[in-house]
Amino acid sequence: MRKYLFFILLMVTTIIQARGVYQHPDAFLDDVFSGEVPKPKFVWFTGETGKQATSILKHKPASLRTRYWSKGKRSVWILEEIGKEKFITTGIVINDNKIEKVKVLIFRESRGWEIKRNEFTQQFSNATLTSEGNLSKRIDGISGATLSVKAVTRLSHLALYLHSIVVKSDGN
Amino acid sequence: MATKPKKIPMRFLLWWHRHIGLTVAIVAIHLAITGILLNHTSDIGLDKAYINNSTVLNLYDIKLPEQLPGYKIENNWLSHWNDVIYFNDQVIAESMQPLRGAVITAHFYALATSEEIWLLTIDGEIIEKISAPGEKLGDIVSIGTQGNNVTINTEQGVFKADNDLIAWQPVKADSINWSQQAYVPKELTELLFAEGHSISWERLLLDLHSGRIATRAGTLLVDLAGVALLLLAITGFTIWLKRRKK
Repeated sequence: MRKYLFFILLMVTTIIQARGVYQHPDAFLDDVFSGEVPKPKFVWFTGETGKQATSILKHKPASLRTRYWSKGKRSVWILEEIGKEKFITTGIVINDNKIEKVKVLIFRESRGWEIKRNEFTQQFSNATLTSEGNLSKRIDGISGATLSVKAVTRLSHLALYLHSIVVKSDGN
Repeated sequence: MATKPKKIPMRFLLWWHRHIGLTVAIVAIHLAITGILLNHTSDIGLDKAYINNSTVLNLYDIKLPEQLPGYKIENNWLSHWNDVIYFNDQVIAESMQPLRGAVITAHFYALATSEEIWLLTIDGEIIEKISAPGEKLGDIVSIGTQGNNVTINTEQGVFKADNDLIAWQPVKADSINWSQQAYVPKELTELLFAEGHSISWERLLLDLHSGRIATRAGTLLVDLAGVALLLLAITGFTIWLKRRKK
């Protein structure tokens, strides 16, 4: 009987873990900048930036502009992408044109929550853009979370591209 | 002396096989057709096609209230129904949070859900979704303007944003034009209901296949059909074995 109760409890905990706010975007920014969050700036998805973003995401971006926060060679992007049906909000830190950190902040899908695990997100560390503009690292998938994995991979690729754009325009 | 196990007579098996087969035939055809279609919903676009039929929607208890609440800015209506936010009859995006209001500023329209503020163009295109105030200020109760600045009434009090909605300052609740809820015109309400955007054909097929469309009775019927199909396979196999031995 105790065994069954344990498994039922385990299943319920897993379902509860699946969806929700893992970390509020504000708290993520506070963590990254140790409480001294710089004023955000904007990137508009117009012209070439819009075309490239559409090509990376494989669809038009969901909004006309996005915010980013930068200090020195670091920039932080809070981006959203649909996995299967709902948006996955992800925080991505780029440092000196390399991915420093990827963190799933809000997960709204019913399946694929495994992407929040560190073992998955750590795969992105130190990924860069290749000379052809692709992600330099191959990201291993997770069985049952294919669409969520693809969504986070596209967002990481987009963050690297947007970082390269703002570095040029900000003259860093 | 051990007694020999009693053999099941062939006639008995044939009778049961025939009657189970006849009883379960319609459900088996139904399961086969819905099953094949379910395997190809993405290929034939059934996962993105939505049902407009009010009789089918009624099965899901989806009924548009007689009057749909919304917010009017200039000549446009913003409303929230079935987890979707509409700009007139156009879908802006999905949102599970309730719509709290909509205002116009010098540069954009702004709508508030309980957790986010969305900036929109005058055509209803999303410029940006801002989720920042949520954690620090609590849930948004209503949205308004003070001059050209967006103000929000939250669980923590009333706050006014700067022009880019980056910083929020506490402000006295005087001279604020709060967004007022009204009812969406009947014609638009009916149009939103007709367009549905809620239950996909894939979902309907899935519920037909599992029997869930007819609640517990439907599920039970499909379960019984499953057991009957199992018996059909067992009796069929036994008959084949018996005939082979002969």
